[in-house]
Amino acid sequence: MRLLLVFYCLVFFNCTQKRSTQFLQPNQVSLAQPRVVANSTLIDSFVTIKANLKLDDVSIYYTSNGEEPSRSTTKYEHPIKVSNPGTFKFKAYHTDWNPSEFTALTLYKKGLDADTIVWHSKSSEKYKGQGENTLINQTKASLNFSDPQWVGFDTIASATVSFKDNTFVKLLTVSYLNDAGSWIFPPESITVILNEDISTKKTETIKSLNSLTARKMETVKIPIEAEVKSLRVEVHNLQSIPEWHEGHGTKAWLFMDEWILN
Amino acid sequence: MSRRKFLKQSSLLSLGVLTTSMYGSAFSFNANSDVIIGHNSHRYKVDMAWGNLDASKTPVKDCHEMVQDSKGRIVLLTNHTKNNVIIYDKSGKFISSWGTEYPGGHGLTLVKENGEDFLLITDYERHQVIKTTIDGKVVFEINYPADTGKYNNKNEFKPTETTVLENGDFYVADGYGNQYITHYNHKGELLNIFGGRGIEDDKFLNAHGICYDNRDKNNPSLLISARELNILKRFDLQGNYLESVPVPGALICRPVIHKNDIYFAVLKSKNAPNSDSGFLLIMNEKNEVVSCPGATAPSYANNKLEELYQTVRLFQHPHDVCIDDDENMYVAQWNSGHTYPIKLIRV
Repeated sequence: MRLLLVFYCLVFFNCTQKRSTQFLQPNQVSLAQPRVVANSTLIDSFVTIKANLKLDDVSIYYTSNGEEPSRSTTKYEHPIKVSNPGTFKFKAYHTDWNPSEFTALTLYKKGLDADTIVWHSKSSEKYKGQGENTLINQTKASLNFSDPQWVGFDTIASATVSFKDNTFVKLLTVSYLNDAGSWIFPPESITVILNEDISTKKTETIKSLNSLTARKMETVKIPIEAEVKSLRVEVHNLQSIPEWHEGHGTKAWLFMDEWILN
Repeated sequence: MSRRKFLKQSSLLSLGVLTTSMYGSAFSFNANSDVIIGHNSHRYKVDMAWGNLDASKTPVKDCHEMVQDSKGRIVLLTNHTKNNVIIYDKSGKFISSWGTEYPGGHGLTLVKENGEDFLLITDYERHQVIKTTIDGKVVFEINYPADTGKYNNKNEFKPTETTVLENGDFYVADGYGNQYITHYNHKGELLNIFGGRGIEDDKFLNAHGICYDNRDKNNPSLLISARELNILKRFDLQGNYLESVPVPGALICRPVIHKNDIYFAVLKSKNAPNSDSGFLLIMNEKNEVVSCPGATAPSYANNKLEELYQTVRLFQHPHDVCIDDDENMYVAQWNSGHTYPIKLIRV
């Protein structure tokens, strides 16, 4: 800032004029991310997405192919009706202020209805969601960790999900919150066992975080591709928060809102 | 992004714009391009460089609160124990500093007694309220209100704010502790206790700030922020609940009354993806929100205030505001990368 002042001074006033207060200029500040809401993020037939940043002269541009929006992508003019899963990204632009970071919203296909879920581990007393069925209730949470659609664990999350009849499952999607600022980290790994048959056991490891990012919802997709009556799912919370974080060395929180079976 | 980093990046960016324009013919150093934030009657230009000091000599950690003293000086309280209190003039020039024993220095209130200035400091790490002279001599210390039976030990008392009546009585808000409001006479003797943790009308979640409201001379009252609930609550001086003023989306810090208006630093926007999503908020004499510098323009639908949120990433975590006798505003920030306060010039 001071450098900038000196520079202005040199160029325009030849340093003959005394410094008067240098006020903030619009190109020194970015817009906040646009607010993006969908009436549901699990698509049954279609969902509607609305984006907004309540500031005069703001335009919002978006993409539906995962790429970063720019002024040359589609302009958001009215709510978007969506019938296929995908990731939508929205970015706000203004004539004066710098553009925002993008807001991403991922829509999933509504999952199969499971019959029961039996828990082998306990969620935190404070963040127990809407009860035992929260992770299979076909309802996603908001980004706020106190939303009762989140179930919080400070230990392993282990449960068996069962169907009434043998059902072909293509994919299991585990949706979690990445909010390291609140000590809520992605899981360390996820293990799935089909039909109580240990030989089907498979484990997916999740890459650990390198730095603090804005809070977001993320998923791990685990291909199943089998007829199943039951799935035992074990999600391991991060056992040791990395060095760069103020909580380093201690266990991280794990927050999940839904296990989607397609 | 830290403010330092942000400024560094944005300076480079400005430089880029400037350089480009120099090669054009029409560049003018136009004062009209200064950012103006806020709405309606309360709009401001922003001076980010105000009060910047040499951090190796006069460092800050969190800048918690600020007041203007009787001499017109700006007094800042930080939890940096090299210099807990920094005194500036209005232009941001350093005058003096003192204080090495307030690791949890949080609440700062000016007390005027017979023409002399005193300060009430709350320290949530010392679990105490401390009255000092304006240059730092301790007058008295108040410990947790053990006799009330509302506290098991001192650790449950983490006071965040005080406010003073004309007769010297003062109130303490225990915003990080058990959420009680305690009422003392000018000697520091306990008179009353009310509030406590809860979502009921007469209780609080994060009773972060308290302010004596004597704008209506016939009905003086107390304004207390329930920050986590996004509600400003009014109580009478005996501790009876009177009314709530909801401010959806706004984690309001202490109310600061200046003339007929109430000013707030808003620590965060409730539903923002980024934590550093704070802004400022101003209410008029009817307690209607009229301006939100750094955030959405306040609007009411069916007499209900619509959710407020940060629109530009100017403030990080504003924690207190101080309005001086020129109507300009100073903004102290928590967790902002050890930055000094920001000054806003009313336009």
